[in-house]
Amino acid sequence: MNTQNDNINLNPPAAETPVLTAPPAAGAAPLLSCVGLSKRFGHTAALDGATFELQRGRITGLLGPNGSGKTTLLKLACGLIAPSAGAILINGLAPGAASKRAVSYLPERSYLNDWMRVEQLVKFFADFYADFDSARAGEMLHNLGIEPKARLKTLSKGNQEKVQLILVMSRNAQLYLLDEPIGGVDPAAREYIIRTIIGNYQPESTVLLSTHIITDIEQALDDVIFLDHGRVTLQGSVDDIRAQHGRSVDSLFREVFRC
Amino acid sequence: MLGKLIKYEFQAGSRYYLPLFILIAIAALFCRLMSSLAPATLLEFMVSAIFALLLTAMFVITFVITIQRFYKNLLGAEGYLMFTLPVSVHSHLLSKLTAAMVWNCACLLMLVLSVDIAGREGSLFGDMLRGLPADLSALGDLLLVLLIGLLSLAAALLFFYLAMAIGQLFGQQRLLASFGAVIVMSIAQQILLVAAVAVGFNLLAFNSLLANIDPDNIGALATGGVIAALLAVCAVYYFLTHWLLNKKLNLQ
Repeated sequence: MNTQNDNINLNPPAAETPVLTAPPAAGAAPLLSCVGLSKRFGHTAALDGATFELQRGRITGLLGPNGSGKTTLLKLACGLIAPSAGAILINGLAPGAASKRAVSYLPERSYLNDWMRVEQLVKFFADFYADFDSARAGEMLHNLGIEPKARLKTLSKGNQEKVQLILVMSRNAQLYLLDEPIGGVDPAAREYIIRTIIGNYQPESTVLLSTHIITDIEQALDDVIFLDHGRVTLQGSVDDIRAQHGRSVDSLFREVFRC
Repeated sequence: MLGKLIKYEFQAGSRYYLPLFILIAIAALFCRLMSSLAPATLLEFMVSAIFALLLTAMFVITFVITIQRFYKNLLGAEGYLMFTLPVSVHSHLLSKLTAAMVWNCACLLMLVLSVDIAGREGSLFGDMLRGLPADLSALGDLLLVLLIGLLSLAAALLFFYLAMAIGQLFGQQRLLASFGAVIVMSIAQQILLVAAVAVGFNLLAFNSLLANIDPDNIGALATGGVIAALLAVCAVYYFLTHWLLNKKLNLQ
């Protein structure tokens, strides 16, 4: 992972430019940018004026306790819900058919047609996504011992989640949005999945993954964003946070979000 | 992309419709067999009753599947998959509409054919074919009637799509809200229809336009009016649904 743009916007070191005010790379819009992004459900604000940018080529952890707005943020980026205020742009575009071509999204829930066979789902993804790598998907299914002929609904919940992750990671997308990718699987599979996420991603592609299980994933992250009650309370590189606070992101998380 | 969506839509529908059609064909064959063996027995009556029941069930099932394909596939959990595909909302709507129209028409055809198979005398389908007008001008009339039928079907489907697109705006009671939308839209539709007829009638009566129209053309005018009105209704429902799914999507 490259280490340029190791920025932190909470007490940024003087020598470095805070991410928020960094100008976009010459000629290119930031991969993902949110400006005053808010989403209300009735009277509660799931997201409350979130403003940040994602730089290309980095793995960013979207960290926060349950109900902090992580899923809402990812759904907004995919255009599955519309913002109440503010804007979210991918490559400078509002969510739409064009932005969706660049994004590979793993929702936290199961979202595949469960009557389909695994191989039919692979075909489905290959049909709709030009950047889908069927051979890679086949190899990962084989490594995890998932039978391509099996119907999805006959698989265990953990294996269904693995199929979803395999499909999502078999694309050569610019941006991977992963919602709780390691939530429901056993620790062995969790390790494989984390290796897959790191191993599969191209130097130019970017990962934003939400989780509240930080210990297992911390070593894979370049940057983190802390979300609390729909607000971005901390954004920066893992190295800077460790240097500044003298402790791991996990222990900082436990302190910041102490119940 | 539209073609691929339609392909998967047919794949999903054929899981229900093909077994249903086969079942109905078998029931129709049994009916025929019974009536040719020993007429007017209790068994024959029972087989006919089952056949009639299956035909009724076919239309209920078709309605349920039509609604479910839209609600579950686009607005339920599967909507997470469908709406993250790099596909326009137009393609989603058109693929659902096309497949639903084909399946609904296939059910009507199945009704006619299976009744033909079941009955001993005559053929409904044969009558229909014989009834086809010989000369081209009358064939045009038939095509117009077909067009009106297809447009009415499209309007009915789009009516329910719009109701569900409105229903999904409401957080928890989405299904209930969809039913509410059906009721409110039905009432609004009735009011608009009555108003349009009243206004149209008054315009015609007071401007004595009616007297100036060649009686031979009244039929053509009425047909044109019905087609124009159906097209307008379809367009309004379609674009409202598109706007709601494009700008106001609210997946749970």
